[in-house]
Amino acid sequence: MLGLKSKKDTSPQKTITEISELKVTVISSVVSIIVGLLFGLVFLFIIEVIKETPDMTNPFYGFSNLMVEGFSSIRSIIKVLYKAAPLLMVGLAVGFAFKAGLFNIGATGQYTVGAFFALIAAILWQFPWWAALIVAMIAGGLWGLVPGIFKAVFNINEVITTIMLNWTALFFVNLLFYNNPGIYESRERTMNLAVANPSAILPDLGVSDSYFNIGIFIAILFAVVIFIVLERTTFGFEIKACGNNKNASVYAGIKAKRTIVYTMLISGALAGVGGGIQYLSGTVPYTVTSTTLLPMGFNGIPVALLAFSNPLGIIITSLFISYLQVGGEAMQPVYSPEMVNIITSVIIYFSAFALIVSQLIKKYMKKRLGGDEATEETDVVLDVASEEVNKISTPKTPEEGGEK
Amino acid sequence: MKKFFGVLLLALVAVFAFVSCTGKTYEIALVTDVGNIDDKSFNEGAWNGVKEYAEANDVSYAYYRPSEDSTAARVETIENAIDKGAKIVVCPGYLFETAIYQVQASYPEVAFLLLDGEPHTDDYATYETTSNTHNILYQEEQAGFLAGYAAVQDGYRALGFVGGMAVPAVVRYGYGFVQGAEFAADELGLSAGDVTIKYYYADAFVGSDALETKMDGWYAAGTEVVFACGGKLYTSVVAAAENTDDGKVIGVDVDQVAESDRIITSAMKGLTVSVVDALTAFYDNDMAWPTELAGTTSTLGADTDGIGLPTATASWRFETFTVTAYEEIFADLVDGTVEVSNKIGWTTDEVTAWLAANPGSDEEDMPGYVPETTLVTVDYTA
Amino acid sequence: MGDYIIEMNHIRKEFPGVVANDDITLQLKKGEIHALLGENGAGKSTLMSVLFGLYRPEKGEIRKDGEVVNIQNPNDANDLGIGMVHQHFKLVEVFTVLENIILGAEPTKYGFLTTKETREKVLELSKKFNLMVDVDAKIEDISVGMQQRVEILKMLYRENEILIFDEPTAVLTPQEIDELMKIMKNLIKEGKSILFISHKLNEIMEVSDRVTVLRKGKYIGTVDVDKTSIDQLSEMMVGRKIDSIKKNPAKKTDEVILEVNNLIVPSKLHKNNAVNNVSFQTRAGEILCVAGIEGNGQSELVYGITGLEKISSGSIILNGKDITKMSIRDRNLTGMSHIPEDRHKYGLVLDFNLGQNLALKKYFQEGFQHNGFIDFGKIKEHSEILIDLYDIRSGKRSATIARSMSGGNQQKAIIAREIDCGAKLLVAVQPTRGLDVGAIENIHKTLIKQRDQGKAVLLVSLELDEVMDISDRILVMYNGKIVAELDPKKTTPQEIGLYMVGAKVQDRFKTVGGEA
Repeated sequence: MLGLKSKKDTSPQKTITEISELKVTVISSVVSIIVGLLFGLVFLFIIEVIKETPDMTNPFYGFSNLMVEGFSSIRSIIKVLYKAAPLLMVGLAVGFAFKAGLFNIGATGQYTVGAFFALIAAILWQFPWWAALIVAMIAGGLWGLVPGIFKAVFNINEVITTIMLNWTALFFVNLLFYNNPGIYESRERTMNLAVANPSAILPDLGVSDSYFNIGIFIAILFAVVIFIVLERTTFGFEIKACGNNKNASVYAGIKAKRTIVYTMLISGALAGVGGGIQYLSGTVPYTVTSTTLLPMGFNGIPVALLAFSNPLGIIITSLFISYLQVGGEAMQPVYSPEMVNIITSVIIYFSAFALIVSQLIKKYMKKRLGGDEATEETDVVLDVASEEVNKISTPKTPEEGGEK
Repeated sequence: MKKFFGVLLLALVAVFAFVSCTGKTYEIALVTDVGNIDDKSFNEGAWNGVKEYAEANDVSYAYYRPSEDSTAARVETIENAIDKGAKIVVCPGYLFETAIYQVQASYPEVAFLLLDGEPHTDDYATYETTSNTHNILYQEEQAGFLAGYAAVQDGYRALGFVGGMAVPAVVRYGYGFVQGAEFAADELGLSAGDVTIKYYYADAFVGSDALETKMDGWYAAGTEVVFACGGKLYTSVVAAAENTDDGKVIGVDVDQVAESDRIITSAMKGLTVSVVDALTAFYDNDMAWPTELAGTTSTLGADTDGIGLPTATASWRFETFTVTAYEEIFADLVDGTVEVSNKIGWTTDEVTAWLAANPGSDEEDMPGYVPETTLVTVDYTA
Repeated sequence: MGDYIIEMNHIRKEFPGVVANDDITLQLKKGEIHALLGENGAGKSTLMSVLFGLYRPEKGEIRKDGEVVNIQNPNDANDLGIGMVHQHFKLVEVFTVLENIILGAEPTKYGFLTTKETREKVLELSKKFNLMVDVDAKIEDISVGMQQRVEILKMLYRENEILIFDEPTAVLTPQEIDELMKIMKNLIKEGKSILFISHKLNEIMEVSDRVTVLRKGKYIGTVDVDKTSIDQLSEMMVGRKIDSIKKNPAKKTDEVILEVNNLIVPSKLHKNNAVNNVSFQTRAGEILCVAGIEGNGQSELVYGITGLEKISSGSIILNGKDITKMSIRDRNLTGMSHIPEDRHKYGLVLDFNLGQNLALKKYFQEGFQHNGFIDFGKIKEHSEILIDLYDIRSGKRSATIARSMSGGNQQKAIIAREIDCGAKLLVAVQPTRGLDVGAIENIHKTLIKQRDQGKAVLLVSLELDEVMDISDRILVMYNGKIVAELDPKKTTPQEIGLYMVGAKVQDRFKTVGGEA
């Protein structure tokens, strides 16, 4: 404690400059998004400049299409919602695991397994949509359970197991598809649900647009439920405690291993529902010949990061990413689809720097705030500084590089 | 601070909303099915046609790729192309059948050119081609015939055929290939069994390790050349061929010789030519389909340069079979001297006759239709 | 002026909202041992960071031999001959002493290591300063005191003139401390100058020539050691007179609260058992202290008792119940509180707010939750009471994020939570580590109060002063075993030191499985 100013209770002016954690989060997300968009624009200019025949109006057209398309028409808005629904689910899956300190890179595998079982349930078993979704949820959950158990029982890093299970999921699903010929239209694409089992298509509430279904509402419902679980229940409390400090949780008597297993089970289930929502929309068939991982699960990572894993925030960020993707399609034909992918990725990944921005904001606010909190902060700064002295004034040892 | 960002965001949106009102337009649009325009197949062949016509006639053109592999996305992308000023939309591939069915009525002022398919509903119950749409089909059996004929003429005796799936277009290629081999064997006066064909459907339009292994087996067992007929599956066949000293491959749809020096020829559809021809007809008729094309389907064969083998020097990799010989057989196809059957299944009468001849059996017991051969031995269970 | 080798004149370093160093002057004479005295947070670290070029001071200058120097980074400091022995050694465990010494300044010829000359140089230095270091031993095999001498050799090898010792005695036994003091005096004789950072007054009195005292970022003064006293120094350091702890004699009871029988806890670091067949009892109304050098099994003993680590054999009986196989939560509910060794690792969820941290062991109880839904109102209510009762200072009270609190207040929060559980047994591991004098005093009083209320306190401490001050009974652990049971009134730190390094073992503990 470096108490130059004695620690008093809150002084009046402090309440004025005080900003809540939530505000910092929101502001930093917004700033990140703007920075991301600006990077995207800069990137557009760069690729224009290095072209053989640059046309400086292209970046403007492209960028304006990107920005405007998402809400240019009812249809576009519906498409944004359509694309946001599975994104929201995988975002929740990743974010929920983040809360427990787990990095579920396997959302894409759980999503794939969920998608497969949703289609099996819909086409082979002729289940209605809600039952197929439940099947997807269970399948995804079980797929998430495996790394959870490995982590809890054998302390095997979930990043490694989930990555491996992504590929396992992909080829496992391909194999199962091959062995279930009843599910195909041709041997490449699964049957059109409108033909195979119209009752398995998510209800469209009478809206005739092919992209419209209740998927987004289901996803939002899940987000709200997850929010309540995390913020209001003892289980959520335990998850967050484990996520923030596993040792302290164990010390406090929380069964951390059980919490990890449950968390991965739920995380997988959420991703599984995402797969279900996507493939029960009745639009897109599953292409069995795919030998690349579905990108959807990975897109959940920036969605969760950008929202600081807050389930309600994930609703918004998934809509944003979806809005970008829909907008990106409208950049064609000036920009090729590959270029559009790069541009949207640039924006998404720069946007995901929200965390850094939030730290900058906090630092800035501390500076302006001064007083008590700054004092406390300085303690930390000093600790870091002395640690720094230690680090720098002695040669780097392998020990430091490796073990820690 | 919040205000500042709010204003900034608003300003950005406002500026770009304004700018976007004045976008560029593109008159001829090509929408790819799922792949991209460099797929060495339908998308690329059609795109080359669009480019060729548009550049020669100074018309704006562009291509679009759907966001996902769904009819909804293809419809959306077609609509996006129309928003960007497309007057004619070229759609390569059967995947567009349902998409065109959905959009052709909604956009009567826009023309559609569908390659290798005919618009229909999801459940195949209704086929309809409106007057602003023209479909092009190809006589794959003739292309397959030429490939089989050329291979046997060039001295190959142990042939193979790998189809993507047993869909009509692929089957026509395959049966044409068999007929061509038979025809050449007859011309050369070979005896029965001299020419063999291993015949197989891979059940996928992409390569796989399993397929490569199977092809390794074929080449090891003496197969000299394999007709790789289906999208990207040629990759596995080529890989297997390259594992051997002299295994050869025949490509499909477009001229694939650039893919590997093992590819001796390709059973081509005249995608580029037919797109150029269709576009020419469309523009010559004041940007509308001429009556004979409006709402109709053309089936293009040798007579309209709809199919063929590549004859450019770089693409000609036969040793004894000459371009002149090829041109002769091609001319025979054009004038009907040589006819290639496009039959791929039993007719209703034949089924009835068979059922009558085999009492107690039902339709499913009937063996599948295969072209009749006397000299060539085809192993349909290879 | 000329006889100062290093001068830091009127140094001022500000951090947002706080002045960490306010007009501080530190002048180190050539050939003296100069102590820098101050509590945690007094600004010692900042001042050293300035000296090492990690911070740019807002005001002030640094002079070397009277010349103003510009130190931009630690390499500059090294070039000026300034070296430091850190509190936590920076050594590669699997390397030999020699390899560690040359690390970072490896002598090479054509890109190959040439250790022969270096070896001779190191041996010579070792002999000259009487360091007695085996250069071929691996760090992991040598004692802590020897490791520290390796650090000293490292500085000597780099030909540093100004040697900074950062709290060097914290990890040493009394015997090793004596040894270090001799070495330091030896170094001075050979012309080195030493800055000795410490808050232990008796050591400063023993070894140093002059003392500079800092308090809360301010320069209090520099005094000659022979013209001052411990009392004066402590007043300068703390700013007021320190009461020595007044302790009522323990109310002896026979009620056994905790009974540990033949406990064996395997080590996570090596193949041997960290705790090897330990048995003892703790009774109500006493503070039983486990003393020993760090790493002799005290931590594992506590982990075994509290359930944080699996034991391989033995039994633990708490309040008459066998808790050997109980979960941590059940142990807590049976009557165990635990103030953990590492408050950041175990004690707190740093990103939770204070209210949640105070409820960490209660949130699951009816009243704090209904049907699985947490009653945050109740959590707040509960924490507000504890905050006032234990005087936990925090900006936003219950809503304060634990991370932003000072170390002393974090520790207060943990103690509040643990005592609030009302358990009969309080296990406290190094509860005063890293805290300032005021906070230490407070915690000691709290522990004694618990004892007076009839609870059993099991205190694990590395600080001999603390052990001597507040315990009613002392167990000394060495190499995973209890080697002595002592009465603090009848023993001396020196005697404890002998047991701590394993030089002595009480007869009754020589046979395996002795009972304390």
